[in-house]
This record gives sequence, C-alpha cells and structure tokens, in this order.
Amino acid sequence: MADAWSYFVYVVLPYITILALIVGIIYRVQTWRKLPRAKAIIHPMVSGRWGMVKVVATDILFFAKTFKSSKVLWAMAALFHIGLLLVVFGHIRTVTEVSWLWGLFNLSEEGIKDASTILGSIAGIAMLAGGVLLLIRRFTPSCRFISIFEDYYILLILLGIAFTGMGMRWFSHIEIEEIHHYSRGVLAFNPEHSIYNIWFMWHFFLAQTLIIYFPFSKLVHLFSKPVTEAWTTR
Amino acid sequence: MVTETKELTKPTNQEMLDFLGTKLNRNLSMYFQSCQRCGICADNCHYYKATNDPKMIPAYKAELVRKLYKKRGGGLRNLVPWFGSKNGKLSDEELGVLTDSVFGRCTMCRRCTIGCPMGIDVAMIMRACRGMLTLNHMAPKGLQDTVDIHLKTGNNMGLENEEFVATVEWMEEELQDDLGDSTAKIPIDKKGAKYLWVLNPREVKYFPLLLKAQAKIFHAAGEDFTVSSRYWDVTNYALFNGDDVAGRTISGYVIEEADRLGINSVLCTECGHGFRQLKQMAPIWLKRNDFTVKAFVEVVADYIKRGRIKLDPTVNTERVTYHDPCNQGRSGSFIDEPRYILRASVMDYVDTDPCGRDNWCCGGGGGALTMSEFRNRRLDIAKVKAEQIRATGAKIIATSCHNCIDQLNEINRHYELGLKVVNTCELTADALIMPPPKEPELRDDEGYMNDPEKWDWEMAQTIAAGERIGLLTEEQKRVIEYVRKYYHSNSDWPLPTRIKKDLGCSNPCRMFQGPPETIFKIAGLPNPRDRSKWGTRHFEICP
Repeated sequence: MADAWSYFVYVVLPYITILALIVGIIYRVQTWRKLPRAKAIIHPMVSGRWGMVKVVATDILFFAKTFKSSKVLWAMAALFHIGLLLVVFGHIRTVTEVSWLWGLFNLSEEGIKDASTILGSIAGIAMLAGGVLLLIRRFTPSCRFISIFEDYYILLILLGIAFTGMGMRWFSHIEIEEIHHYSRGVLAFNPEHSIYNIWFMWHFFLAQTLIIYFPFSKLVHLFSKPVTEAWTTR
Repeated sequence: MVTETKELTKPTNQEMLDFLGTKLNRNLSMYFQSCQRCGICADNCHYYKATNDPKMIPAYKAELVRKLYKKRGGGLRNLVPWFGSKNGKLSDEELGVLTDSVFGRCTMCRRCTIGCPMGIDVAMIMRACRGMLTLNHMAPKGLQDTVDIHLKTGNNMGLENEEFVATVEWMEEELQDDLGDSTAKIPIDKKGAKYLWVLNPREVKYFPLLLKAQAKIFHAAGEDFTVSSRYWDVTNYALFNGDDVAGRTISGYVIEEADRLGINSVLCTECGHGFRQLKQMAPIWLKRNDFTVKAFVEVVADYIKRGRIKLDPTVNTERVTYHDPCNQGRSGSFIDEPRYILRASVMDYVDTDPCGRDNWCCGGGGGALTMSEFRNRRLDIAKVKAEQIRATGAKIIATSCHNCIDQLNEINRHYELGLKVVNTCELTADALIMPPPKEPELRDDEGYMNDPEKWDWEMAQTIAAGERIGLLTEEQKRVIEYVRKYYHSNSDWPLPTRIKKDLGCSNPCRMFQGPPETIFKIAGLPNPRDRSKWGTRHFEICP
C-alpha cells in the first residue's frame, strides 16, 4: 500500500500536476479573455501612466497600502511573503545547481550547503511564523466572519508544505543529490520512486495539490494584483 | 397624480442570474478571484467603523455577490456539478438580505478601493448586484421612483420646464438688480455657446439662490454659457440602481441637448454623481467621446488661476473646511481645485483629517438619501464624518455636491455640530470683486438696438442711413411710431398687413424697400430672432 502511494506521488502525480497547471492556466486565461472589457475609469490618476507604474510598483515591493492601513498585518504579510519568495528561489537548487551564481560569492561546495541551511532555515521559519500569525489573525472575530473555507484551506496547505519542508531539513537526512537525481528523472520522463523519506513525500504531495488548485484559487493574486491595481489607479 | 397599477413581471431566478452574467466583465471576474478577505477594507469603510458590525465589511458584501455568480454555474461546475452551492435558486430571504446589503450598507464611495491591496472596486460589484435587484423590482422605492420620474419628465423632481425657465429668468432679474448691471444674463437656449450649463433640480426647486451665485461667477468671468429649456438636469440616479438602460437614456438627454444647441462642452453644476456619470459613464453608455464634461470647481479654479475673476477673502472670516464628495474627489480627481478656490475665497481654511482621496464619505452617496428605509442607519454611520468635522473646529463646511449637502445638514442637526453647510459657489460668489459694469452695446451684430429705451429720432435716422434709406418721410415716421406703440403694449412685432390696415397707408415693406425687419430695426426694437431679448420692456414710445 505504502509502495503504491509513493508510486502515485512520485511517478504519476507529477505529470498530472504539470498537465493540470497548464490546462488550468489556459482555461482561466481563455474564460477571462472571452469577457468584455470594463471601460469605466475607477480612480483617474492625475500623474499619468508613469505615476500609475510607480504606485503599483511601490505597493508590490513594499506592501504600501497594507502598511498604511495596519502595521500588524503588514508585518505578518511581509514576513510570510518574503519567506515564501526566498523559499521558492531556493527550490531552484532542487532542479539545477546554479554554479555561476555561487561563483559570484566564491562559495565552495561546503559553503553552498552551509549557506543553503542557514538561508533556507531563516526563510522557512519566517514563512512558518508569518503563516501561523496570519492563521491566528483569521480567527479574530471580524476577520473570521468574512473568511471562507478557501482562506483557511490555502493557509493550512502552505503551512503544511513549509512544515514538512523544514522537517525534511531538521528531522531527517536527505541529500540534495538524491533530489537532483529524481527531478532529472521526472524531466526525462523516466521517474524513479527512489526516495524513501516520509517528510519529502508529504512535502511533495501537498505542494502538488496546491499547484493543481493554483489557477482556480485566490492565489492568482500573484498575477492579478498588478493588473487589478493598475485598473484602479488608471 | 394618476396612480396606475402596473403589472410587475418578476423575472425568474435564471433570468436574474443571466442578467448578472451580462454584467460580468474582466474586472469583476478578476476582482472576485483576487480578494484575499484580509479585512483591510473593514477599516476603510465608514459603515464598519461606526458600527463594528462585521456584516458591514466590504469583503463580506462582495462575497455575497460572488456567491450569486457561483450559482450561475459555468466554470468548474460544468465539470463537477456539485462544486459550489446547491443549485441556481435564489430564495426570497436571500434576496432580502442582498437588498439590505447592497443598497443599505454601501454608499459606493470607493474608499475601500483606495485602501485595498488588490485594488478591488467594490462599487462595481455592488452596482452589478443592484442592477439585478432592480430587475426584480426590489430596489428601494425612493430610489426607483427618482429614476422613473426622471424618465417620465426629464428631471428627477418632475418640474415643469416652464417652471424652470421662470426660475432662471427670476434669478437673472435678481442678479441684475443685485449688480445693477443689465448685461448680467443667464442665456436660455443660446445656440453655439461655449458651455451648456446643466443643473440639479434641487437647486431649481429649493435653492434658486445657488443659480444666482453661480451665474454671478460666470458673469464676472465673462463666460459664454447657456442653459437648455428642455433637458437641464445633470443627475442620473440610474448610476445607483444599476439600470444601464435607464442610465443610457438619462445621460443621453443632456448630451443630445448639447448636440441640438451645437455645444460640445457640458458644464456641470456642483453635483458629484452628475458630474461623474456624464464624464465617465456617458461616453461608455452612448459609445461616443466627442464631448467634454467640466466640473464647476474645475472651471472656477481655472478662472482664478487665469485672473478672470478676482476674489476678496476678507469677506469670509469664519473657519471653513471642505468635504470631498466621493464622486468628484476620489472618483473624479478634483482634489486640489476646490481647495485652491476656498483658499482664495476665505480667510481661514483647514483640511479635515484624512482629506482628499482618503476623505470619509458623508454617508449620503450611492442614492442613500432617497432610501428612507435606511435613514436611521445612515445617520448612525455618519458618526465618523461628524467626529472628523468636529475635530477641525470649523464653523462652515463647504462641499461641491448636493447629496452631500443634504446629508451634512442632517448630520449637523443630529450630532449638533452647529455648522453652516454651504456650496463652494456661495463662498466664492460672496468673495467676488465685481468688475465695473460694462456699458451695454447700443446695437447688436445685426444692427438691431439692444434697448428700445435708448432710441430717438436721430438714432432712427442713423439706422435708416445704414439701410440705404434717405431722410425719413412723415409717412415712414408714422409707421415707426405705430410699430413702437404696438411693441410697447403687446411686446410683439406687428405684421406688415396689420400696419397697413390700422394706418390705412401703402404697403410698409415697399415704403422701406425691404423686409419688415428693416422697419423694426429703424424703430429701435430688439432683434426678433434673438430669443433672449424677447419680452415686455418699459420705454418711452417717442421721445
């Protein structure tokens, strides 16, 4: 049974995930493109196009609007998003070793691993802490009233992914080379279910469910935020 | 008024959901998916701020509407039918909650949009849902009546056009008396003027002195403007009940009237939503953008900047603050203009905190003033505004929107603020330094005399010379005398046959070698083609 499950997660699910993500994105973009444009001006910006770009960019980089409204929420969101960003970039290492980048910092083989451990841990903790705080905030009376299932669900999955990811680093031993080997296998359409690590398996599984759900969830704010904000400040 | 029993056809649930489908656009679709329900909008909503009731949070209200869209089916539900809610049914209870939420808990002020990290326009979401409820005849009666009356009579208070023209003429006389200047005019139906000035029926019916104040400013600036005697109402409550068909018709009234008069620039009175619907919605509804729309504050600020009017701020010594109407400030980008005007018109101007784009809504927006069923709530939520105004210590609050004025007056009474609520034009008109009245032109472009009073026989001889008529004969003089007498008693121009009959003379046209207008011209009567000059005037018949 356990073998069949890990076979499913390691060998079958990755292709379902990739397919679902591509089809999902195409489907979403197509249904969206079929809709008419809304031509109404929402808030005319006097400073023109460049002013709009500046406003939107500041908000994306520094969460300016959140800062203005609530400092506490800003701290939580910043912690969570910066952690998430670093973690996502850290995952480049699972597919390819970006040696030219390490070359810039004159890092040795050992140095890379140390840097990865330190940075990865910091980022992971930041993300976990931010996520937990955001989850606690969801339970404050007014916020709880407006939250729907999706809000809890996405936070819990993200926290689960972060937790299993950190567990992999702290409570078990897994070499980057093993993951390299596996990910290259997936890319070459020849995956092996060779990693017998419970933390990794759940980490990988949860991440894939999130990716499948991505195009249909509120996570699209990754792409839609600049667009909706640009409409608003037009 | 005749009460007619109209058979109200209720649309089916599916028709209502289909209607929502027609309202769906790229913005709405992305807004619905982008909302994180983070609750930042709660702190930006005056409803929540005043009541602390989580049902007032914009994200909650938007979620109610999103649920309707999920009921529409489509999307994932084609694939997995059990996804989302049960089926496309809308219970009466649910519709009641919706009516209460989208009409009674939102003034569409868009303050939450300014603060929203995703920039979600809750007003657009609310308007889509309001449209659906209007289709189902569930819009609050007061709001729906306002739209119906507008469609029926051409203005939202059901005023007769004669009544309007009479008010304008009365105000013109008042203005002339005040200034002692007969050139101060409010031209009606003047073709080819620079601006078509459109008004709010509230001004015409209850506060005609506002017309005088604005006309005084226009006169001082030497503006070339006119009002229409047919469609002169700037308001459009279809913006608030979400009915696009009515919205198109109503905004079309004004724009087509501008076309008829050969004017392509509409100048709105101090009305927030009226300005926005003409400026931003009319081009979309009517699918044309060959007209420009100006706000009153925009034009007056321009006058001051160019030195076309001079102001003396020492007239207004009390402390003044300004309330930004949502539709003109946040959604219309006129933040600096009214402040510029007020700083030039008053001695002591203070801003509220927050001000400009982030200013609190007074609570009277989105047609809230027409919905009497939500009156108590409207006054409760105005607590935010009342405290904000009290903190400034101002004695006068100026604003540039008639809905805001009504609401501010109610706040003033309810919270005992002891304020005076005025339009910006009142303060500006008071502070105006009038240029010395110009001596009116003796004759107009076509050679007619502007004022029959100034006429004498010498003048008649000069005009006659211009018409290639030599020394006036006795018979011609008799005709002229007769024409003047006729105009004096009938305020009308006599027909040549009438002259011939009454005087027993030869054909007067042949006598003056031209059309009857030549006689009127020599007789010093005003131009029959210039409507603004018509009317009885007291003058000496033959000095």
